[in-house]
Amino acid sequence: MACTLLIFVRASRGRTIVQTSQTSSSQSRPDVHTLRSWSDEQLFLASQAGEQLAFRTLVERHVAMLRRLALNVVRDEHEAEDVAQEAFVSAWRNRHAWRPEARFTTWLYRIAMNKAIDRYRSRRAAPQPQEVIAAIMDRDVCASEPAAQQDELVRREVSITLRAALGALPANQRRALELFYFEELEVAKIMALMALSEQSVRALLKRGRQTLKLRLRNQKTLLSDGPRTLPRPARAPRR
Amino acid sequence: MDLARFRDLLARHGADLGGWPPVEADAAIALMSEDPAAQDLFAALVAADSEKAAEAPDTAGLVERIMSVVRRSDG
Repeated sequence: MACTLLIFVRASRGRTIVQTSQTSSSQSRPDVHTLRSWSDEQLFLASQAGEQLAFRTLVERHVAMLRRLALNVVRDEHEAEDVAQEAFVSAWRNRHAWRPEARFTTWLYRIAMNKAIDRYRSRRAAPQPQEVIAAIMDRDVCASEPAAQQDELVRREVSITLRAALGALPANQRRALELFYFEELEVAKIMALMALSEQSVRALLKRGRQTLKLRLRNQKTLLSDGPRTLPRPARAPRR
Repeated sequence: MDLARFRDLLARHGADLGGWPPVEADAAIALMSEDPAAQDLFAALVAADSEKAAEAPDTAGLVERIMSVVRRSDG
């Protein structure tokens, strides 16, 4: 006989008590309005039993919070939605790992936070090549088309080339450039961090830019690849 | 960065890393990646901010996308 498993959870003196009951197929499943009155833990226990409507109720209840949580870390609305989606899908796929002793939202938020942190780090590790080039070359070179139009292979090549060029710089030049362009620190802050005078920091930035510009201009991948070429700057007419 | 420093910075800058100095934001990320208590602190503040928000964002499309993947993952 087909049965529907209904699961109830109630808190009693700090302990979570799980009760289960089986109903005959003649009894209807809880409707949306009933589900909305359930606690998170009740809903997720029902989700563990495969009730997608119960899980959907949880998604509707918490998706805005998860999106905001992710947005406050990754700072991009599309990425924040991706993180929220990945977190809920991960919660569904790993639903049997959750135990009712744990608060559901604590478990869910940690899943989302870890995914947001991964995104934050991967973006920091691989900055958009055109943004970085445009910044580092001090507007001498600018991107010819939006990043979204570039295929992934070319973007990866450019990123590798840029990282290699940065990695080849003397350590103090590289550090100054990273702090100035990637961390967006003011010169005064860089002076404090590197224990250098303003003149020294400015000299490091200038030499780093010049060396990087020279090396990047010699990269065929960057400068002579048809429509993806990063154009040389228009030079001001000589007087 | 330790949890006490993180708590101070949360009180000063709020639970939006976009408003933090980049070096401090990186340190906060490093702490949160290792310390679930830091994650919980951050999430609690975001939740409090969320409750105060005047308007809830439209998430209907996102809900459908999530449930679509959930259904496929069971298929």
